[in-house]
Amino acid sequence: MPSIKLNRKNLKNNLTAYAFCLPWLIGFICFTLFPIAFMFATSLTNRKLNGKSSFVGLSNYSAMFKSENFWNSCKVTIFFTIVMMAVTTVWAVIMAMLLNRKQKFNGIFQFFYFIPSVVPTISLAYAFRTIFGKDAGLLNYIISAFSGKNSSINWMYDPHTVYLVVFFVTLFTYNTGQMMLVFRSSLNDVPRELYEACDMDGAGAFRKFATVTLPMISPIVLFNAVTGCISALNGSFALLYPLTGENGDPNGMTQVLSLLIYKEAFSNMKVGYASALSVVLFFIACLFGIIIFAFSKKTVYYEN
Amino acid sequence: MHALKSKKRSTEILIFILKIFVALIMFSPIIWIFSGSFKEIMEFTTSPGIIPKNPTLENFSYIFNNSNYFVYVRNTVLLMGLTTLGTLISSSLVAYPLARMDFPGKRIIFAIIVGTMMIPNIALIIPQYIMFGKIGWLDSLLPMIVPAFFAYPYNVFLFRQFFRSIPKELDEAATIDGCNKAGIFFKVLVPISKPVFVTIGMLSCVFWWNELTQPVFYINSDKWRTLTIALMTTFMYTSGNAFVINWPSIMAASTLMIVPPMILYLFGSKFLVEGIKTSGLK
Repeated sequence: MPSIKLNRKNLKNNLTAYAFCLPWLIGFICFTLFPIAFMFATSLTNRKLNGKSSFVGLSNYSAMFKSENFWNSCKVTIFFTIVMMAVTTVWAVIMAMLLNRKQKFNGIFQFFYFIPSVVPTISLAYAFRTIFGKDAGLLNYIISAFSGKNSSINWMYDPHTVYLVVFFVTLFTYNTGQMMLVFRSSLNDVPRELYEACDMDGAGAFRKFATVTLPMISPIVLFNAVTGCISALNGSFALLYPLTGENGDPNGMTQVLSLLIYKEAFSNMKVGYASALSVVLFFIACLFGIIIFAFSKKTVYYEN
Repeated sequence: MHALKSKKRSTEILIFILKIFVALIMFSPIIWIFSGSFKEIMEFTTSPGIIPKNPTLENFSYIFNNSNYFVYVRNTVLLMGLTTLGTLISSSLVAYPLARMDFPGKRIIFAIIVGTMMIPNIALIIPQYIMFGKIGWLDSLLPMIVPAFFAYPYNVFLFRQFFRSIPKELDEAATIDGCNKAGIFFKVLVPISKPVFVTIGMLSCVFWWNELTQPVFYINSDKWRTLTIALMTTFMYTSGNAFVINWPSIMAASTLMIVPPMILYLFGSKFLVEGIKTSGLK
């Protein structure tokens, strides 16, 4: 008798659990699973923005693989994602280490270091478009003031400097601020004794960093760097669309896949083709996702 | 010994100077935006000085007089408020059994949730756009608000992390008092997790206040524009001349957009900072 009662109770508990999960299940089916299936289906049609479509088989894909724009865009996407990840991680570690020095006004410094992360990316993009502007830009002004020569570099449209600008701007995104805060707390967890042992050996600041700090925080650095990849894939549109436009000026050098998708769907009205591009972006994201799982298995424990 | 001490002192000073330098870099765009919003358009396009020569409030009055500014504010607040409300309710409900109950399928559900966290929204936005078009939701806030009521994987994950840190003994005590599993959530867990709700609510508000991508895809007409799109469209050009970018009014509109998150940080940095630390760790 008691076992039946227990089973009943178990059943009731399980049903309660499923009921609580219901909102997620509905959302997952409607807003993730169905769109994925629909994306694959649409990529096989020549659907236009006005909704007209007919089945064209794999011709979107063959057009895509022949398109120079597409290959350029894939290259830019992977380049942008990896470099952004590296640059923002290094910068976040630097800021976290500075903030963790026990000195006065750290609270105020954290405010200044972190606030750009919660500022709308579009405002930042416009601020930097003018700071790096050719004519009345702040940077040219500062360079002119220091060098004595008149500097009129068109930072945003010069193929030699555009990446400098773009990656500099990524230092101000939410991702950087988030990592900085995470690193601050994980740096605090590094045992003091290890540094003291280093001091006894007379190690310099750089050796201390290389032999103690870096190995101790490396799992978190690694994991945050890879999750930064995903936010780079996702956030690149909001950053680059107002900064360099849907064509990714100059010469498509900054045209990541999300910009190309937007352009094909809304300017060229080729929604079917844009879906095929989305499929590629989806697989690139999956690839990065798999890498995350591989890393997280090694470094992070999901206890059960 | 003395030499060592003075050397240590000088490195401390050097680091402090470095800190100020980094602060200047990080704050430079914000100073630029603030200063630009008080400049006349002629000055903005000709001289990069930080202190405006003839400080003017013209740009702010231009925004208020030449656009439906308060409509954009209403839309943004509506979007922010409803998505945050939706995600707080739905994500906390879903996180509860995942954090504190045992049932068949739990591991699979959790694995799928973590897996979908990795799919960037932008990859699925085209099919979603077609889908929302078919049910007539385009050019409204619905494509962003409705999904929020069906649990964002990321927020489910955050709630789960927080719920797991609450001692299990509380549940047991409540069970002895005659509470069932649903009752435990509403009567025990929710009341003591208020700070968690505040934290995730803040993160969600910051996200939706700043969100550009989804409104750009879904919203067309002026009446549902959010502040972020207005910045890209309405305030972009001087009235009557579509070729001159009205930078000072963009800067003025940006200033107005930057202030709320700044105030939020000043008053709620404890919640915000703690929440972000947790979100980035795993």
